Amino acid sequence: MTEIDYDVVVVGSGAGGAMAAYTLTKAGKKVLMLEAGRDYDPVKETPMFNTAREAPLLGKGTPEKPFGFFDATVDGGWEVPGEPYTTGKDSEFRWWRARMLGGRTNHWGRYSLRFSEHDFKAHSRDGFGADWPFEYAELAPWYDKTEELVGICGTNTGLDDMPDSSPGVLQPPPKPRGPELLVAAAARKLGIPSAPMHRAILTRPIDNRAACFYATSCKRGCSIGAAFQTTTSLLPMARATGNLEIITDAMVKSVDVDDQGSVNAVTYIDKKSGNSVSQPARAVVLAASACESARVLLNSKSSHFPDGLANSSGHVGRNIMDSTGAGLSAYIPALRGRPIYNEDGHTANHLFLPWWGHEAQANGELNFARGYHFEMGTGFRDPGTWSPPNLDGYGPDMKRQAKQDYGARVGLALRGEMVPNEHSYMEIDKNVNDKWGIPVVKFHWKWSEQELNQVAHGLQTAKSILTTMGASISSLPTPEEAIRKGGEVIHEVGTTRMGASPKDSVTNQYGQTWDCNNLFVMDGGVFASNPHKNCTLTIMTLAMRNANWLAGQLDKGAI
Amino acid sequence: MDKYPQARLTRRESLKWLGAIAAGLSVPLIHGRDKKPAPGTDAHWPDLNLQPITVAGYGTDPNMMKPETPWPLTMTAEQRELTSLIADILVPREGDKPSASEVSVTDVVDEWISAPYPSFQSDRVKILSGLAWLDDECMQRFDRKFVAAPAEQQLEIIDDIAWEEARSNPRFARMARVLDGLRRLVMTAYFSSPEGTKDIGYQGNVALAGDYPGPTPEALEHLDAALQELGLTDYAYS
Repeated sequence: MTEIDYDVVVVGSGAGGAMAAYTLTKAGKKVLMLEAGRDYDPVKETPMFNTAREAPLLGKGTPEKPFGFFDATVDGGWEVPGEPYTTGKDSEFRWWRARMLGGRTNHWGRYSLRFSEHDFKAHSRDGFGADWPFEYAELAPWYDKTEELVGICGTNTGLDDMPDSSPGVLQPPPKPRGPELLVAAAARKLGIPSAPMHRAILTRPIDNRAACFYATSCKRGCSIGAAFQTTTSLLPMARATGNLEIITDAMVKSVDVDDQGSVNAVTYIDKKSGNSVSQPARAVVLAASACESARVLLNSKSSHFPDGLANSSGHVGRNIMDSTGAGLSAYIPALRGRPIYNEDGHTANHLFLPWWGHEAQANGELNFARGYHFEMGTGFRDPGTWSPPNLDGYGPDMKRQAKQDYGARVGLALRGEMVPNEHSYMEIDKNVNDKWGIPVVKFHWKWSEQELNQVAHGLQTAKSILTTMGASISSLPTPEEAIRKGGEVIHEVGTTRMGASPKDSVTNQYGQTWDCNNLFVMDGGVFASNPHKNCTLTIMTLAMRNANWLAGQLDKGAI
Repeated sequence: MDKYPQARLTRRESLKWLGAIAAGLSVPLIHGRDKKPAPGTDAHWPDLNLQPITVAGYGTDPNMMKPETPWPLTMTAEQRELTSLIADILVPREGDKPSASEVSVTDVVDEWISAPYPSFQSDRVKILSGLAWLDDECMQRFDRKFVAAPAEQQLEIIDDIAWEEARSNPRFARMARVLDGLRRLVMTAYFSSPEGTKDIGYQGNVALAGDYPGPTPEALEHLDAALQELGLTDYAYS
């Protein structure tokens, strides 16, 4: 335990925690950050330019590094050694964690799309899930501020699924690649628009971060700071204020309360010594990830809160939503043997296909309520990451055949919105502790017809686009076969949702728990719904807005 | 992570890959269950009694700046010689372009099948069985081990197993599947070498100053022709 009297203890150093700490320290508040993983410095630890050949097994995924050897994730993945989770009967759910400073922002896809007016009030429109306790207009200026600070490349499109940023906020996006232009044309023929993807990649330098030089996968992290991660941006900036202290290898077990039921401490395990430490706290921000924060709350039982802290609504751990995921790809004859040029770009989508079906949904033409988008997989990539398809024979002819297919594959990956359902939730498994003695999470999961119908629609659409490009696709999987398992898109949110009433939500619109006014949640747990547009930008935007509000409350002496 | 499972695999294969690859799982190179062969078909499929590899992997926090493979290579000298020979039949030297074994593809295969992870151990059994099958087959046909046979005898066997039709011939189906997996590994390993990368023509992995330039004029010309051919010219992105 440290002696300094901190204003706020922040649990977690990823998107939400780092933005909260940045905002609070800039406002002059003393912050202690607790991170469950080890210290990590992308400047020294990012394998820039290493080819697949330099890694064991050509860099392919293994149980120890599921997304490949060079993936930035440290001590994590689908399994964390010594820190298991369990699943209920007939439930499949997979929980990606990273035990490192900066958390999952070190390897994320950096797709950064704003939620729209449409998204914040979806329940009012279709009856599923819950509305957010504010309108888009409330968040719009905070999106601007976050986008400017983080650095987002993209363009304003005027499409109803993509709210515009204020002029001058977005950085210019990179030019589309050839195969992306072919997808865009095929989609347009089918009435589907395409647009530059918005990504948290600098195409112009800001602060100490350089602009992208268009090489080496962002998933490894980025030593020049072009690809956003909190370890090269918010955390060093917050530290520079002199108001932030970070303790790594600090695995939070519970948030503790005094006789009045007010939060007064955080208990964590110092992983290096194995000792339990009680850290006094005036206010606590949980941003340990949606499911980890909910786990902390459910494990924080006291006479005041026998069902877990901040859980008077019974909603802690409920309403988990991931994004739906499914994909289809094919080799496109028209792309075979095309002229080779450098298609690395910023190493992910330059163009994507935003949701185009709001009108059809409003007219009752679709049998699912919420939208999706397609990401594109194309390009001439590091040949050590590519396995030529359908080879026949041997020798020079076979090699020529392989070379013709290089860069001719096009994939479409669906990412869609799920609606919460009563079968998808997490609780504490009373029978299993992790190696630190902390009871683990038990997940329950089921997709509803909403998601399955959406995926069925997406598969048909992907097939139409690919066949319009000249591919031949004989059969499609069923949606049950195609849909990714719960958790696998790594967009799990909603476990501590915000709302307008303490009856059916865990926090108010500022992430302040209804039950304890000095306890906040600032990760994806507070999402009232999970639009298909990737959660991180909105996690950061909410954390900035809500930490700003928290700073104001501290100034006023309200907390 | 490969989130774009491929539509040209058979339905059953693509589903397996769809789930597994998308989830960031490592999947065996050679998929499909080994079925008992029908009597009188490929009955000489070897039954290798391999001890499982139990050494540690590289862990969840390997040094990415200095990648190292901690597990020992396990192929015998004979297995490596045969692997090199097959790899060079697949990718022979062509002028100044090296053969597969010249760019250490054999080491990649050895590292692959020596890895302690489940999917790689699954490949190990199949690849080592395949190598043993080649020797058995050569013994039966020509009374000598594969590496000792003259090139035309080697190719007679390879021609029986390297082509599409072999996969539906009960006598060769299992070996054909193993060879296909090995072929894909050899090709990826070859193209991943500096010389192979030059051969395939990859232009990336270099830092660019300024904005990303996008397609070259030649590439745009090719795209325009493709749009034209597909009747998509009027729908070009703008």
